[in-house]
Amino acid sequence: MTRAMLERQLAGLQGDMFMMGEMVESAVERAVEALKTRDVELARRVIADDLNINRKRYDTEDKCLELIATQQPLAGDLRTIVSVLHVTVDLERMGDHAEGIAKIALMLADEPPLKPYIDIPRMADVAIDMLMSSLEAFKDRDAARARAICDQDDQVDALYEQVYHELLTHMIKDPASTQRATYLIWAAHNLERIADRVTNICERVVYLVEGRIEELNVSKY
Amino acid sequence: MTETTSPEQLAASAPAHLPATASAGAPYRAAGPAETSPVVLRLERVGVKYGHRSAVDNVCMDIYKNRITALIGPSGCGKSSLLRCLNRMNDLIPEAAVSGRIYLDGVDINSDAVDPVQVRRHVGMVFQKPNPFPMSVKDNIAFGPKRLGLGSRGRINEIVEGALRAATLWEEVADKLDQPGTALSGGQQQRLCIARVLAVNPEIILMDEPCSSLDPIATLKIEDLMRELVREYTIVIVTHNMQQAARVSDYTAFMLASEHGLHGQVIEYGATKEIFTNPRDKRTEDYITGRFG
Repeated sequence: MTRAMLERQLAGLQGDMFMMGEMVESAVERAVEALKTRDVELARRVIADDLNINRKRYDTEDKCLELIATQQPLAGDLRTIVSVLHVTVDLERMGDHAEGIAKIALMLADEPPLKPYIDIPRMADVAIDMLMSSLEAFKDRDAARARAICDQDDQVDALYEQVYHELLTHMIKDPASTQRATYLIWAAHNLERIADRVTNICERVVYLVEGRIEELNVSKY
Repeated sequence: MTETTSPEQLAASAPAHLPATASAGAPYRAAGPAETSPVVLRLERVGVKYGHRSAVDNVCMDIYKNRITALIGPSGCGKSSLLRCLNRMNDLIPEAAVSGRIYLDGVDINSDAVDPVQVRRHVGMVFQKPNPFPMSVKDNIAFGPKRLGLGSRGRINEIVEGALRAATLWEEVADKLDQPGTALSGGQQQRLCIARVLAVNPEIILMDEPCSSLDPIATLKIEDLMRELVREYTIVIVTHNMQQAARVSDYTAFMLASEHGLHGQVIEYGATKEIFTNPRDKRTEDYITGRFG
């Protein structure tokens, strides 16, 4: 019995997933940059590029199904494929959150800035760091690291809370800022959701390595 | 169906006891969710030697009633040798020696007081290649009950129909009962052999690669039949087809020999779902994912 073909296909599948992770990383970075710099062109590119992330998800899903149907994978191989299926769904949704931030950037582009953006880019930095670390943990089959990454979600939640209260204060002080502040809360909420979805990836890493589903993070939001 | 001799009667005066705990540190129970079905067969440090050559070594495991237990492993790992222990088929191999204990409902089947023919009546066997007797379909089924004196002509006819129905063969052969069993298709012949086993109303059915000579459709029919039969019987199957073990069994034991054909042992025994999704032993994982074997 040879596994050469199966090994190649499994490696290809994970390669596609990691590439999708990089596409999402770039989408989040650029969406927040577009928001910060009021760059309409950049925001439009992020929105357009989301189609590529979606396509990559369905393409990966197709490959997973083909592998299941033709190779009848078992044990670690089966868990790898099931994990890739779940992770790519989460990545695709993260891409949608990045697209959401880009759309908010477009809505705010013609409005005067409410305040300098500090905590929102910070949230993005932590979320991206969590995302890329979770994919490395997947690559290295490192369940301990996956568990540790989830602790960072608390940082993102704390930043979100800070942003929320700050923007609420703006709205109270200056009711004319309500619409802009609400948009920014949505943007922050998108980042909070991204970090939360990273914890789903971490749960898949634990499943991949240990073969059991463990809920690692119950988000406050 | 017929009335059977109880295992207690079968054992005559053999001392019956079921040890409560495993010895030699080997687990009896399959790993996995708690099983509520009773233990019907207990294997305690079972070994098989052919002359000086040890084929099976120190196997301890419980087989649960009304469950399908699959024995898997590479060629020469001792799974067929182990299966043959379960109804004393190794008695028929002159140089074979079985050690350890095998309890059927608490009775040691290797005890001197136990008649191997009675053991084989309680523990029937279906072989790799269908082996109908060179006689009619009906006589194939009636052969066992007649030899055991299980009833009148009318009663035997009932047994024949009941066994063929239970083996999901009746509809296909009802009008061919007097035709030779060997004239049936391969899949039908194998179901005929299963019906022949059922006719003597066993408690346990052993199957040694029962589908290896069948096409995929006939294979699926046998697998469907196994899931039907397990409501009434306990089944132990040896199979090389891991997908079959995954599809059909409730428990799976993975066996491995330390050298080809020597010292076959149970490496891991657990709920089939666990063995095929999350095996605990790397050797099991390597085998079922095709890394060796």
